[in-house]
Amino acid sequence: MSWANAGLVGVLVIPIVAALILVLFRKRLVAVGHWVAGIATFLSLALVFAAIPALQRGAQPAVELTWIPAASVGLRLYLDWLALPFLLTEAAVTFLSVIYAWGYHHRDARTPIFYALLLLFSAGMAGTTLADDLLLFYTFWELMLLASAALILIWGDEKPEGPTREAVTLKYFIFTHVGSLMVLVALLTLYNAAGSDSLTALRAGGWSLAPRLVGPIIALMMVGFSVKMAVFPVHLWLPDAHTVAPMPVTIMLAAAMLSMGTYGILRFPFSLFSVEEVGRFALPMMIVGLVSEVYGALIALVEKDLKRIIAYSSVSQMGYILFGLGTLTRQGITGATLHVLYHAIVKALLFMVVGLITRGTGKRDIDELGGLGRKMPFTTACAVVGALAIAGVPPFCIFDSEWMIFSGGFHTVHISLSVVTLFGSLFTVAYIARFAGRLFLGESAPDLKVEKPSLAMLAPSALLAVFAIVEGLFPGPVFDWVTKELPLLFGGQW
Amino acid sequence: MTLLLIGLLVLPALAALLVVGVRRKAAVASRIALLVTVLALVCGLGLLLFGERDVPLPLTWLPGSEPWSLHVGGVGLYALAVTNLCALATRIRGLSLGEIPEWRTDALFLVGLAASNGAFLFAHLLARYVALEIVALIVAAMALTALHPDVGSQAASFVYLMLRVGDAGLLAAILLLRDATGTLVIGEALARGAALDGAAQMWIAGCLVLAVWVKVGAWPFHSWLRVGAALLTSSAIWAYGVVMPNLGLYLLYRVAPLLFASGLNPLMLGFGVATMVPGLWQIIRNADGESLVIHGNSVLAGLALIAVSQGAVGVVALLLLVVAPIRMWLWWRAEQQSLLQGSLSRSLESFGIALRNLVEDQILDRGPVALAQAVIRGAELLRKWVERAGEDALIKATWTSVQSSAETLQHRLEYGRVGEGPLGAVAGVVLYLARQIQRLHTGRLRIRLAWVVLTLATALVVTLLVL
Repeated sequence: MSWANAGLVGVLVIPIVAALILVLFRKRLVAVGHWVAGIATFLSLALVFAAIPALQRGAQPAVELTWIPAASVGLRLYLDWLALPFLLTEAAVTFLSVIYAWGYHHRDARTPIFYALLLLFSAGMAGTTLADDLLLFYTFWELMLLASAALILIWGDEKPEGPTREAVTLKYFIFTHVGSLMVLVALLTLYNAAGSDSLTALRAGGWSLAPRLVGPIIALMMVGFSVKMAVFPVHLWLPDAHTVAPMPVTIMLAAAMLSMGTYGILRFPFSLFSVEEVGRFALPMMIVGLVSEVYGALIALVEKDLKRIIAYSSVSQMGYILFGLGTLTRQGITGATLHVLYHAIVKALLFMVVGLITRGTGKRDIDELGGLGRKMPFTTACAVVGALAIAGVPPFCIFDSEWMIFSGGFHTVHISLSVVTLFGSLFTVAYIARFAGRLFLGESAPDLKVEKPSLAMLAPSALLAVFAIVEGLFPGPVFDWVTKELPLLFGGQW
Repeated sequence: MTLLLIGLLVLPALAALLVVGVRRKAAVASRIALLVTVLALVCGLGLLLFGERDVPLPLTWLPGSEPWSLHVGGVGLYALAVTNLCALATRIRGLSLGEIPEWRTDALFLVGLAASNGAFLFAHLLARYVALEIVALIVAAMALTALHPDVGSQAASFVYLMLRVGDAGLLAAILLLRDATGTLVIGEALARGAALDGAAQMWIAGCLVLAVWVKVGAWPFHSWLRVGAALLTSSAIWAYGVVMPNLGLYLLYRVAPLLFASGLNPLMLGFGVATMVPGLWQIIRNADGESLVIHGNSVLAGLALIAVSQGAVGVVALLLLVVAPIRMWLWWRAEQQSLLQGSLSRSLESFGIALRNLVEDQILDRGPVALAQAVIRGAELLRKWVERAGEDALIKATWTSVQSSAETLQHRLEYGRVGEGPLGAVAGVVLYLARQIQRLHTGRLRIRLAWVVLTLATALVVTLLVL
């Protein structure tokens, strides 16, 4: 086994083994459980970076284990340019979330279990992107759900007047699982048609689906993955889940897990079917993307809970991504993938800022806060970077991806739709201006006390703010990585 | 020439950083700003000696976009010189009035100077867009430094949002133009764009006119100028009264050939007139300095668009270069309540007050606010309907059905009624196994249904392992 292949296994195995250690030795690891999780996620992230040179040499790291030969079911891991951006996003967000949790999470006897579940959540996402067979893909897909649901159920931060943790977890589970079942039906149909559950074999062709099944299967996948993306109208699980979940989990949900839906769309319908077959879904995707963009932004404009404002912002940003995918153009799809990465950076930053504020002031209602600019200068600086970035102001990173997405839209025949989508981004400006203006400017309440935040919470925020600027100014390398996924889509026939 | 360009583009930005460094000494910061403004003007005038030329820059930002470049000379350079001259006049006026601006205002002023110079010089659509965005941010941020914090943040947000409407139009036009012509170099793009026909050109023309309208502050996009009128510091006058309108007029000047070739000339003529009328009406009716500076831009923009519709691009250049200092002077005198005296103005005034309450206060001022409030209210109602109704229906229905199914199944298991036929026999076997396992269990779990599920799960795992 080569080092690159071993690295692939390591990316998955290290978090799982660390999680097992944390569970088995939980009583002894209360004081150092966060270090175990931090080291495990750091190693995972390092292994992901270590795989990039192999990809650049033209190699494609892969690992295969035969499991049920009679049914052509195996366990396969595979890394290509399509999976890399998503794997990198997941690994980086997880690492920063764990560091953030060092300062955010109050340590008690259950802390090792908390970090174990975070690691399993991360392993679920990593496995989803690395899986090269349908069974493994679905297994890790469900592991994401189970681990995150457990985290919300046990450590959820419910408000007295809001829904309970149990209700939120149930809603999250039902919604996401219904989407997963749609995906499962589609995957089983593909397995039946191809006679193998290997994604490599599916990509190679030599199988066919009855013409009357192509549309429904693609539709099932689109809807199923859209649930994970939380676009309108299947977004209903997101606001409550993001609000009630503890902040490190919220960061992982918003910045990493939502991108798994985009990955699923790219890996399955966009990789296994032709442009013509997917093309009939293009306009609906663009329309749903537009509606999601505007709806999410409008609701963010009226929400008062800081977490819910940023949560609805995710619904809006996923709309941009779906719109970009729906253009079925090189620019649009490149922009959508870039937006996944950049949205992860900015969304994680904004949620970290919200966490700094809520931990520092003990308040989460925007009407009870104000004038934090003088009392929390560092947090304000991070928030300003996040706000400018998400508003699409150049030269921050999200402008780069929006440029590509809108460019893709104008390459289609739906120019009026693309113009409306571009103008719809003004709602983003409106809600983020309200968010930043109300929180950091103006006069603060005289009795508002602000506690100094911990370095563990400030450092990842600062790092993300720097990324948002650096990626915006020097987008070349990431652009280069992302464009390499294009030949893998639609069989290379655009 | 390189030094002159550095003096125009880089020096003010560096000076802004220096101002931040010496922020505790307001007088020093003010002198730095004055000195840099003088230098920038000298550099701008110096460039006039070089003649018209393109200067390539070793900078490609977004992959797939061409390298950036500058166009030195022509109307753009004159517009830059006029804008810098107004900047210097602003600083001198401020000094003569004894103003010592806050260091933040000076820093914003300097960044605005660098960005506006770039906006006049860049020959690349993306570069110019970035520069215009920075200017828009600066213009909005001026409100933060000059007003009370509570009001300033709302004013700044409002101004930026309004200016972003124009920038959204500009971005749409840029992307459409690039898609149609394959280039982001302004000269080439506009030349090829003028040869386009069909929907693309109409969209480009429409979006460009929107961008111009917002930047100039012409009716109905004039509301952001009211914030500037409330600020009335020298730097704010320069930003609101000179820079942004100048950039809007220069944009119109550059895209005029494309607009003229679009075939929308009658529409532009009508739109120009339609914009001038409310502006003129407000000026005559109110007869005060504030109305003149706010609504004068509507008259200006209307005249400029009428000129473009007739192919008289030189008129636009004239309005840009000659009128700018006059506009600035009018802003300086905006504190005067009335410029016109006499019975005519008084009669018009009393009639106009009644009309203003209806048109200006209710429709033009409160209209956008009321519309925004209606949109927000609609959004709240939409959320309640979609989320609560949908959520309740889905969750309650699902939970109720799951619960009732589980209760029915549990009841049947408790009383041994598992059905007849082959399926009933299988269920009977599973139930028997579940009872045996439950009997062996010494814990608290008494719910038979759970043991049935456990039994089935065990059977499935064993089957998979055997297979």
